[in-house]
Amino acid sequence: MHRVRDSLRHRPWQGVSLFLLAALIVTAASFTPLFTRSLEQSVTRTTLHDNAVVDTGVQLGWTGPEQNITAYSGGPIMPDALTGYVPSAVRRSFAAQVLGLQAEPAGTVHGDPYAGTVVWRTGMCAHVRIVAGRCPAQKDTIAVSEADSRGLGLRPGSTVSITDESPGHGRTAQVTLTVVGVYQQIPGTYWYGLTLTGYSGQGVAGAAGVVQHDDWLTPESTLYSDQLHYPSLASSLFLLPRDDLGVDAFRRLPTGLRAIERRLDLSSDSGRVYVNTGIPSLVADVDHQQHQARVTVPTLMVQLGLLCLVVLWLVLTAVTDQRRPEIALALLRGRGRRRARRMLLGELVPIMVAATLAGGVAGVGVAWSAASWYLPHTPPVEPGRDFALATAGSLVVLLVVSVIAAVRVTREPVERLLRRVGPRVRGLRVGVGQAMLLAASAALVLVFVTGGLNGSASALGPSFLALLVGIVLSILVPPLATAWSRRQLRRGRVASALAGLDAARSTATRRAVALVTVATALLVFAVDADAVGARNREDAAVQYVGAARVLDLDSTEVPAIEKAVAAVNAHGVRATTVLQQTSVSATASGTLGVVPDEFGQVVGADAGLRAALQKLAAPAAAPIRVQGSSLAVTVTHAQVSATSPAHLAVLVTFPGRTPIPVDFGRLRSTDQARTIRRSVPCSAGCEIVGVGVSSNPGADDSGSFGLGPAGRWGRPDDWQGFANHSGKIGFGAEADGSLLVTFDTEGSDSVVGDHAWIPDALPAVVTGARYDGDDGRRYTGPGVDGVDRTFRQVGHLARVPGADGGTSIVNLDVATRGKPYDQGQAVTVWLADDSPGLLRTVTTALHRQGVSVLGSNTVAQRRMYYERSAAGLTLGLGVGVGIVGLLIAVLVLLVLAISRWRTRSYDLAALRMAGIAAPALRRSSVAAELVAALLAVLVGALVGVGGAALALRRLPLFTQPPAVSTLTLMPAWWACLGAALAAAVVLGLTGWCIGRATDGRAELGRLREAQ
Amino acid sequence: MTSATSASHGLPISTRRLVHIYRTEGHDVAALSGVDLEIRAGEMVGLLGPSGAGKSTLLSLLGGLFRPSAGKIHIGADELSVVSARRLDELRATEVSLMLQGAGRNLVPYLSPIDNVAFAQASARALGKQLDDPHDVLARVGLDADAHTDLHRLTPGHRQLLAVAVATANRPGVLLADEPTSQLQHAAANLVLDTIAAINAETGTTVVLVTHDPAVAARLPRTVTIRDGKIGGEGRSGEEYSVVTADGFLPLPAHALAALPPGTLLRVHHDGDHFVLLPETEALADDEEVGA
Repeated sequence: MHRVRDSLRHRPWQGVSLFLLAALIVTAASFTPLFTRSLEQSVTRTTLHDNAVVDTGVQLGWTGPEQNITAYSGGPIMPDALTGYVPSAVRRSFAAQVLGLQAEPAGTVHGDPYAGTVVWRTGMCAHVRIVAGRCPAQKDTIAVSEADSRGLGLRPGSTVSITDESPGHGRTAQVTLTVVGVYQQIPGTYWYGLTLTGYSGQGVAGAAGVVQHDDWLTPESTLYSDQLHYPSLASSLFLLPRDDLGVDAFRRLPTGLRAIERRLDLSSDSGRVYVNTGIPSLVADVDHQQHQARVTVPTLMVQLGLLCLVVLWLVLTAVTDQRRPEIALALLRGRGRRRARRMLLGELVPIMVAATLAGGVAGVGVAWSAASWYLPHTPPVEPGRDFALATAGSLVVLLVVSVIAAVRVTREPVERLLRRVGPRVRGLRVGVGQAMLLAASAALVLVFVTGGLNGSASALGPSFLALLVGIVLSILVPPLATAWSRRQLRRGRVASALAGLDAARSTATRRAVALVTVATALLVFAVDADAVGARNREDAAVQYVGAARVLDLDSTEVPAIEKAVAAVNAHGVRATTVLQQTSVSATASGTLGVVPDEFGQVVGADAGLRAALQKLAAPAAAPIRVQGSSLAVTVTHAQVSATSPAHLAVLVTFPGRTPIPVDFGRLRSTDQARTIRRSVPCSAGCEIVGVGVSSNPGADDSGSFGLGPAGRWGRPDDWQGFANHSGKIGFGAEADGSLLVTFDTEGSDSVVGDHAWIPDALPAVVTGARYDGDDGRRYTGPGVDGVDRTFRQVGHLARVPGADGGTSIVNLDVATRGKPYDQGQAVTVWLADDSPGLLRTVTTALHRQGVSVLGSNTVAQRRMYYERSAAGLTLGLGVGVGIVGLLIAVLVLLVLAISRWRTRSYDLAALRMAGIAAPALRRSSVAAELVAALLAVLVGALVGVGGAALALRRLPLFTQPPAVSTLTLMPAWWACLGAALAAAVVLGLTGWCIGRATDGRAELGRLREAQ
Repeated sequence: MTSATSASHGLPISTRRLVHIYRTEGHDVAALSGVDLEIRAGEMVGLLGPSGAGKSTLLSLLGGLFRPSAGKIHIGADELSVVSARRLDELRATEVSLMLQGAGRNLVPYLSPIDNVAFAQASARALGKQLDDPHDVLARVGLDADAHTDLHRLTPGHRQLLAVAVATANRPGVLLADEPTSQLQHAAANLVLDTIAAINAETGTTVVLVTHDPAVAARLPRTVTIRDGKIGGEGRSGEEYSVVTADGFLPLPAHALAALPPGTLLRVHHDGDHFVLLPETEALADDEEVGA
């Protein structure tokens, strides 16, 4: 035992190097399952945090029958009964259960009719803030919102009356509820997406004179008792523990949910029972990420592990080679090869065992650090069976490698073991092992280049390529260095020549070249992949969100919103209004109404987008604006041939409203001018947007007339006539300056010509590669009001921020002319930056216009969403692997230098003895180390860039590809250059230090060491 | 202090038509070309000759480092060119000890002198051979006081003495020493040589050592000169002899060869108790003149 100790003391750095490398291998092996597991847990938690509670929870609901009231005889299915459908095993996965009832009774407040919802939920008092009175606990007591309290005058002590119209009773009963408190809702997952407020004072569609109230909170007994009201909705809500639910339990949930669905009698006569949850699709998403993690993480770590293993092998061969004299001595003293091998393993095995223990602990530590500081939501580190297997497996590998290294040396003949210097490699000499490695790596590169490695496994490709190139380079080094040194010798450059000769002769140099090539390629690939991934995540986030921040509003009143935006933009454009209307049209997926100039500045449009937006300029025709309660028109020179009465119709409109036809009476043939005055709702101003003739369906009326007064109606070119199967109408000019209108109804009930202020075909820039039609093409798509209208393509772009493929980008001002606002569109405000200051400014400006901000999406949030996916996180891990690879390369250089410094310094001392000047020797010593390292770094960097270009085509950068692809796989040149420079500096400095240190030890006294 | 038996146990060595050819730079080179050598048990013999003559090759063959291309080597009862690897290990453990050139190459660098001796004895002990205590071994070379001294602190002479101690620690029948006094100062070289001679005398170990040093050669009772892969002569206590080879050749000593260039005709006269070599240079000159 003391011999092992003495041996380790004799060469402490060799022991330390072996220990570190072996520990690194074990760390990589044991870290892999731990990190993969933590990543899965992190992804699960991220999924639970980033998705709405209605998706991450389970709602078992019952709603009463709406149509077949007579069938509603069994009474409601109460929350407790709903809970009974959930198997207890499934129930245990959830952190909280909330039972709830809702009813929507008609009611009166101070005698006025009101409508709204009365709500009960278990524990609701803990999730509201009572600002007046108390939380209702007794039957027929309620708490109301602050808005109801203010607007409806409902203060504690007030009473309201509701009508129990519950089916099954066969009667209608009046119930008086007493207000006992005023609440503020505390937002949270508890409410399961239910917003209690925001309805107070709004009208009810189809119920004139009925106003809504916010939700009223009441105890369960109010909503359900033997005598009174049946609720219209019962629910049993299950909330998942977002920070505690493990990935395994989460992935088991769909099975449990299917069991619930099987138990439910979905076609009950007593109403509809349902399960609402987004868990199955979320689990599918987590499954997908788990699959990615289980391939990508081991793929990255296997590369590191293999690199470590190769380095360990090299170090082991260097270490065992250095023990050749001792092995020879053992053989000369009659120990035999087996005992010599045992002697060698006696040194190696304790190191490997100790390294395994340390590596296992380090694996847990590194995984814990990664889980604490790198992975979102601090997932747990769970050393389990996989960890134990990985650690034990790596020990087996270490021992096998050690035995092979020991056997390799001890099987050599004694006379070869006694040789001090190995034979110089001449020409292109390839060993059997090297040839096998070369063939294997070439085959793998071929598989990689031809697309045989798909998905996450393609991350292995650059390593294979680097291995192939590294080996080839190491084979080329001896002949190249020999040729170089001969040339330098002929020129009398001793230092260069000696450096070349050393590189040509040294096995260590060849090994270092191969490994530095692989390590640099690994680093450059990892950095490039991470930078390309980050760039694509940023691009995808910008594409998805549209602008730095996008505000969701509670209003679609474009003028009010634009007014607020204009106030914000008074000193420079920082916000813009965007209207979005979606559609399932085959030709276009939606319409995006923008203010072209503002939009271009807020989204930071490139030249292409700016040019396209300029094509969306409003038509030149000025609107015909009128103001007042009546409008007078003059009809001149009317010539009408009518089969039924033809009436003159003028269409007027104001912002956000559909044009209103104003009937100016029957048209009669006459040469005399006739002025007609009609009431119009234009006291606040409106625009005349159409002139036409209405008739009875089937009538065939035709004729012409002049429209005055002159000048009001603009030029004839401002009017858009048409002629088709549904009639025709045309516009011209009368001699007196009035507008000449010619028409033919041809059986239609009306023919109307629009003013050019509202273009008949809305100019649009179409997005998406699949929608690349010719400019001028007319197509049908959703207008801002959701009603299909005609568009005219004026430009095409592959993509526009915030717009899906096939979206029609239109001028908001033009698109909203004569169109209603409140027809399902979303109006948002896009901000140029996501600073809190701008958010405050815009929110305040909107508030002044009576518009509230419901929420916002930012590019940063979306980018973080992408970053926190398994695909994003593992790319970051790759950079760590690359850095460790670089450090391993440093270790390789040091170990190889340590293993041969005696012979090298002996050689240098001998050269010094032979009369070669000290500076030349120093230069030679440094150059021998430096040039090889830098050459390998250069080649490795090129291989890394090339490998990344190939691998990134198949490496997943996202969990699922974004709907609009912004993928650009061009190398991140600056990142690559930075990584290559870092490698060159680190490895070059290491080589320089080694060269100087070796030269420093080349004292003449070394020559006596042979004694 | 225990001491193993000091009775003579040296082994005889003999070689018959020993040939060794090695390949270098694509060419076959005959390092030894028919060496016949007889060394009696307990003899102390020096191998002399110029660099490249084949001395070290012969020593390596005697040490079983590699097998000869042709010919036989007997160490005691064993014929080295045919023994099994196991027997070779046993021989190395118990009977044949090779002392390499350069003291450091004979020592495990991280072990103390006493541990180096113990290391050298381990295999022989495992085979049941009775050996001297390591301290006695060190005492025999005068290094008992340095039993636990770090190797690097020993003088070159002491390191070489330690190498001798290690090489003889297993009381071998044959000690093969390659340049044991090279790179040592005169006094240290004498001390080493004295020590080896003492061991030879005390234990009866057969000693074969390679040397370049004429002073060392002069002190050896018998020397064998290797020249061009053959035995070129022998010396006995400083007196130089030529050796008739098995096939009847007689290599001339260097000083005679200088006077008798290749092609010289010699007449061998048996003159009573000795032979006289008479060069026939004049007769050859006469013949040439006649012919002309």
